[in-house]
Amino acid sequence: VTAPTPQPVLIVSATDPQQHGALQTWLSSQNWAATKWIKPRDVDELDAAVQRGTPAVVFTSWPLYLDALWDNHIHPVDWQVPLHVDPAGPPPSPRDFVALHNTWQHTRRRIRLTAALILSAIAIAAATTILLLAGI
Amino acid sequence: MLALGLLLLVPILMWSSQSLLLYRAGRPIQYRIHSRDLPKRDQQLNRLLTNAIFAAILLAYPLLRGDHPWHYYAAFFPLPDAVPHVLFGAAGAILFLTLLYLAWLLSDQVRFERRHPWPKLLKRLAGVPLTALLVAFVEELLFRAMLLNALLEAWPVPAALATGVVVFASAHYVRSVKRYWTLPGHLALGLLFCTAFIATGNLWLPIGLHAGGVLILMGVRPLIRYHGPPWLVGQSIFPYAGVVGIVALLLLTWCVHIRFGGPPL
Repeated sequence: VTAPTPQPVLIVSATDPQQHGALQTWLSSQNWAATKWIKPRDVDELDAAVQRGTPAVVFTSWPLYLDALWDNHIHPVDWQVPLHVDPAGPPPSPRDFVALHNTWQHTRRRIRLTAALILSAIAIAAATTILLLAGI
Repeated sequence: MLALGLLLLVPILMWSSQSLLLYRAGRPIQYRIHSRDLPKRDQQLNRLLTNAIFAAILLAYPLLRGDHPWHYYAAFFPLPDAVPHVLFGAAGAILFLTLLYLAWLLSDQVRFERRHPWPKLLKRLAGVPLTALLVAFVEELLFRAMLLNALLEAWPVPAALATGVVVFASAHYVRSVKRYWTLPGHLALGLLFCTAFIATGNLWLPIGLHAGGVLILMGVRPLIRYHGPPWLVGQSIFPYAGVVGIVALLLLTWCVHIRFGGPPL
């Protein structure tokens, strides 16, 4: 009789977690050998992956976790498993969160402005075409 | 009714070709039409077969009526109307959709973000204009030049219009799809295209409206995430299927009717 394959710990990381020495040491200390790498662009699939079963979720940095949370891509309040953020790094200070929130807001405002400018330009071009065709 | 009969043949032929490919791949026959269970290479072949079925139906219809296909379809493309009608249609659809997206963006119902790596995104966007033209061209030939025209020859305008709208909307659910709540949106879309065809008597305006819409919907799709309730703002490539989108489609239909007139409904 073979033991069932352990379910992997889900690790959200911009780079391959296998190359992350301190993280690997921390995972070993928790006796978690099996891991699955979730890239930041796939983070909206994390809720479903957690539902399928995992011993824990690990984000390798605070910006990765907070961006996913504030962008509404993940819903950790629904998870029944431990969540760790940058477990191998030093704990962030309260001021760090302010800086992270400011950066997130700045980035989202810039994207929103760019999208609004492009959409407005297309709408103006379309409206102009209609007015010209109507002979106004 | 020949046109309706031929259109009803399409799902039967699609299911048959899918079943043949599944049988060839040693997989069980599926009740629904969807290519997910086919091996990757057969999915491409299945798409090719589907397009061949559309082409065969389009050619068969005028031949069975005793017309030459070229002469039959060329009548729906009068050259003097080409540029103004296509431009008006495309500009109208693009204007309404961009205003809709702008409203959702400013009210934080949607967020724009790059959902794919740059090479994949650019590859997808590069194919959008041709896809928009092909989708508009084939669907307008099938549902307006073939079906609606036949219905208008046989029935009063309101009955032909209603049947044309329902068949067009239903056709989007022949294949297995993720969402069925989008049906009212497809009915409103069908009403727009059928009104445009009845108003002008040609395909330029419906093709312009259709292609302009597909261009924006598919161009925006890899760059957008919906956060608002689907019943209000729609989802994926269906922003027109939310309540506001349906109202916008009805308004655009009214604009087309006012601008181009046509027979009384």
